[in-house]
Amino acid sequence: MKKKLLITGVLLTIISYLILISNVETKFYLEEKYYNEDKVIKINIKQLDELINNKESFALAIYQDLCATSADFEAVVSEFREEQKLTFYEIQFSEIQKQLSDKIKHYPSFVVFRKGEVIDYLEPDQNEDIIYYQTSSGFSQWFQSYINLRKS
Amino acid sequence: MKKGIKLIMIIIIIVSIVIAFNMKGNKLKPLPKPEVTEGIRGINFGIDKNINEETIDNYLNRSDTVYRDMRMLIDEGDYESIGGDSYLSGIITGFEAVPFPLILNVTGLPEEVGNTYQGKTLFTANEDGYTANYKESMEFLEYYFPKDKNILLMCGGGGYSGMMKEMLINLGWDKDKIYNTGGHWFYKGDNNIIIKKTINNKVSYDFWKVSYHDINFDTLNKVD
Repeated sequence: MKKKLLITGVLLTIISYLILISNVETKFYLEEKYYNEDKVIKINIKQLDELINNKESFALAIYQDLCATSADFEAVVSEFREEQKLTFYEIQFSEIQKQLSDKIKHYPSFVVFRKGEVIDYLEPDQNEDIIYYQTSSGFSQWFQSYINLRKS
Repeated sequence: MKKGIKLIMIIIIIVSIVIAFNMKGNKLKPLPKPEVTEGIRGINFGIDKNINEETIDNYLNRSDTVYRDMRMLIDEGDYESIGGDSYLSGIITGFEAVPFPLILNVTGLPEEVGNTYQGKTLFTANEDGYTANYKESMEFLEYYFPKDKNILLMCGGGGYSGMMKEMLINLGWDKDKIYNTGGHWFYKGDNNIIIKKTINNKVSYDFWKVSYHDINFDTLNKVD
């Protein structure tokens, strides 16, 4: 009996560890509906809360359209999104200041969510993120480090 | 008589000492030299590492400095179509609004926005630099961006102020006197003047609080 309990305990530990590792290291898919269509969906904070509460996996661009600050990065993201036929959400920085202010300090930014959790985001005040902002290939490199691209 | 002269001399000396002491006390510490911050905020927009949204409160109210916010009160781009807020919703104490889109034609905005203000401008950007459209164009810049002062620029996100900095330097201003202090959207300091108000779900704007320098192009003389 003791032996069986010990073996069960060891197996459970191994299985738990494997699950943990797979969640940490494996790239993930966005929700199916975000593939195969190049589309931008503009949302507000309520809609963002809904996506998070529904534990969706999605991609979110953060801009503020009043000035030209976001223009270059928007072009980079657009080029990538068109090439890969993906659907992204967009939200104004002014909308997310209370929701994500502990993470998103400036715009433009881009956030990847997995099951409602922030996995990573781009920061315009970090040198290591510069290459991801400046070209479609650079952005693709960052994006694909987290998210699988389905082939049409 | 001699006593009277002595008394006057003593008073003059005392007053001179007091004046000298006050002048020393009021002497401003020089600003740190312009230095861009990290990331695309530095490389793309030229936002300053030392004087920016987080630290600007330490550099306000200086007599050797002018403070210019480059936004329009109402940006005429089609921001409504994308849910953006096209109004100047707040400004930092001491900053005066000198709208960049009226100084230089703005290009390169996202497609969804279409084009922003498409009216007359003091200058037009071209391959060779900047062409003055009016005889008063350069005088306007020299008046609002005096070359003998430090010039602290700000806008919504740092874009317009970066363009203004670049333009001034290209036109001969001292690059060590011009600072892009970033965007008002990132300002959380103690010197904010709230312009946009929401009371009982009704939005209004106290534009009267903004020192706004509009340009009446009808009063200017076009360059042939």
